[in-house]
Amino acid sequence: MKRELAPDAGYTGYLRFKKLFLLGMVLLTAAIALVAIACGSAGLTVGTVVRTLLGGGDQNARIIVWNLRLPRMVTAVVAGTGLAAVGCVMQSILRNPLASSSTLGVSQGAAFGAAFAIIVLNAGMQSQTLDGVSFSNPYAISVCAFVGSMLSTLVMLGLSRISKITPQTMILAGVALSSLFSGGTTLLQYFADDVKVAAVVFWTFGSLSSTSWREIAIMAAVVAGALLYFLRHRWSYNALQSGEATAKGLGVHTDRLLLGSMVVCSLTASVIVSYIGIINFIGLIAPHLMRRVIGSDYRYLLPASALMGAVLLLLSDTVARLAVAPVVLPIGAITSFLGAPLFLYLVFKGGKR
Amino acid sequence: MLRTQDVSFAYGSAGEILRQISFDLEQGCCLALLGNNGAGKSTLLKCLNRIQEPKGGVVEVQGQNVRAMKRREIARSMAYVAQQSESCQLTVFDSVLLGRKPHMRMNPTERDLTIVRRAMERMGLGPFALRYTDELSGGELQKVVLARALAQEPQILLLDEPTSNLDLHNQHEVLRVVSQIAKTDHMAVVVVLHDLNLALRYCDRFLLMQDGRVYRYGDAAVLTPEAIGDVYHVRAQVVEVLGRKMVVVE
Repeated sequence: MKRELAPDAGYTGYLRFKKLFLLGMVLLTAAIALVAIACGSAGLTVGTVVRTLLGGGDQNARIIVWNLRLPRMVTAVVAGTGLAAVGCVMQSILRNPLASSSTLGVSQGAAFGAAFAIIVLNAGMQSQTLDGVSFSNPYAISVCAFVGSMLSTLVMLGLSRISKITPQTMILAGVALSSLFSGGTTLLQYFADDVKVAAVVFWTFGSLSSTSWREIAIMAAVVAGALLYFLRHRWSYNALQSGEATAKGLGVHTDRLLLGSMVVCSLTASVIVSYIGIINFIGLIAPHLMRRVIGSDYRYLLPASALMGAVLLLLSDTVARLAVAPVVLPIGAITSFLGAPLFLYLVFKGGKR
Repeated sequence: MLRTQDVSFAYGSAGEILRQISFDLEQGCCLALLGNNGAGKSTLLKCLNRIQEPKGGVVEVQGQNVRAMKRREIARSMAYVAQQSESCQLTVFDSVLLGRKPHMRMNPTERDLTIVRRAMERMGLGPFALRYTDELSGGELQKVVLARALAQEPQILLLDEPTSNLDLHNQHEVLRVVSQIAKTDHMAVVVVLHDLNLALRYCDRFLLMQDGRVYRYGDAAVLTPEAIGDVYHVRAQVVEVLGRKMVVVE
C-alpha cells in the first residue's frame, strides 16, 4: 500500500485497485457459492449447477439445486453480508476494533428474544427433518429478537456515553450481558416442554437449512436497507476515525449517527439471528481481514467486508456439511473455530487496529 | 468576522468553566488563546463551532448566529483541528478529502479534488498522498490535519495546540504557514498556544484567560510582565531581541 506517486495519477490508480478488488470479491463470492452448491452427496458438477440455474438440468438436479442448496447458499450470502457489515460499522462508531454483534452481547440478546418467542409465544418448532427449526410466526421471532438485541445495545450505548471505557472493558461488559441473556434463555428452557427445548437448542447451534424463501426475503430486505443506510454514512464513518471532536468539526452529528447506526445494526443482527441462530465472529473477522488489504476507507471497506462475510459463511457452511458427511455440523461451531483464534490475537495485541 | 458575546459553558450542573467571554476578531487576524492548564482555552475553542454547546451567550460568524446554523453550515465556515491528531489506515489524500465532507453530496467532484490537491501542496504533502496516516511522523500528521482544515475552505480556522507534539522546526513551520494563510486567504485564526514566544511571533491578537474568564484581550501590548505573572504565576520580563518582543521567565 505504500506508494509515493503524484496525487493525480497515483490516486486514480489507487482507487482503480480498490474497485477491481471489490469486483474480484464479487466474482469470488459467486464462484464459491457455485462450488458450494455443487458440493455434496448428489455428485453435481459446477457445470450442472450453472445449467440448472439457467433453466436447464434434469429434474433431480433442479430439485437439489433450487429447493435444497440454493436457499441455503443465499441464506449464507445474505446473513454473512449482514453480520460482517454490522461488525464493520460497530467497530467504527464504537471506536472499538473488538466490536461485533456477537462480542457485545447483541446476538445473545436477540437469541434470548427469539427463544422467548419460540417457547412462550409458540412461534417456532423443530422441523420433522431434524435439520433445523421451522417458523410458524417469523415476524414474532424477529420482533422479540430485536427487543432483546436493543436491550444489549442500550446498555452498551449507555456505558460508552457515561464513561471513557476501554475497548477491552466494553468487551467484558459484552461478556456479562451475554451471560445474563444465556441465563435467561436457560431459564426459559427449564420451564418449557421437551419439544420446545429441542427447538431452541437446535436453533442455538446455528443453521442455514431452516430458512424458507419467505424468511430469506425478510432477511435480504433488512440487510439491503442496512447496507444502504451504512453506505449513505460512509464519509461520516471515515470522519469518526479521526476522533469525535474532529468528526463534529466536519459537520457530522455524532450522537445521531451513533444512535441511528446502532439501531440499524441491532435490527439487522436480530433479524439474522432470529432465523439462523447465533453465528459468532463473522462480524469480527471479515472487517479485520479486509482492513489489512484495502485499509479503513469505509467507501471500500464496508462493501469488501460484507462480501468477505458472505465468503466466510459460505466456506464455513461447506465445511460444516462436508467435514463428517452425511452429518451436518452446527455452523456456529465452525465460525467460532475460525474466529476465536483471531479474537484472542486481537485481545493480546491490545485491541490496536 | 468572528464575534462572541458573553459566552459561558458548564458541564451539567457543575460550576461554570467559561464565564462571559466576549471578543471580536477581524479577518486576516490570528488570535492566540493563552492561559494556564484548565483556564478554559480548549473549551472556548470548541464552543465557537458548537462541538460543545455553550450554556449561554452568542457566537456570530459574519453576523450570523452560530446557534441558528446547521452543523454542516458551521463546518463550511469554521474548521477545527483537535489537540490530538488520530491516525488510521486512511491515505493522506483521503484524510484531506474529508475536509470536503461539509461541501460534498455523495461523492467528491473534480472541484473538490482540485481543492484537496491545492491544500496538500500548500502543506508540502504531495509526496505522501498515498501513505496511510498511521505511517506518518507527528509533524507530517499535523500537516495532514491542517491541510484537511484548509480543504474545508473555512472563514475561520480553530486550532487546539497545533504545535504540542512538534519539534522546533515543525512548530515554526506550521505556525508560519497558518499565519501566512490567514493573511492571503483573509481567514481569521484562533489558536490555543502554550508558548508565549510562538504566540508573539505569529499572532497579532492575544486573549489571556484565567479561571474561565477573559483576563486581557488586545494586541501584543497586553502581554505585560504583570499580566503574565497574574495568569501564569511566574516572574517574567518582556524584552526585545533582534527587533522582536520575547518573554523571558526569570
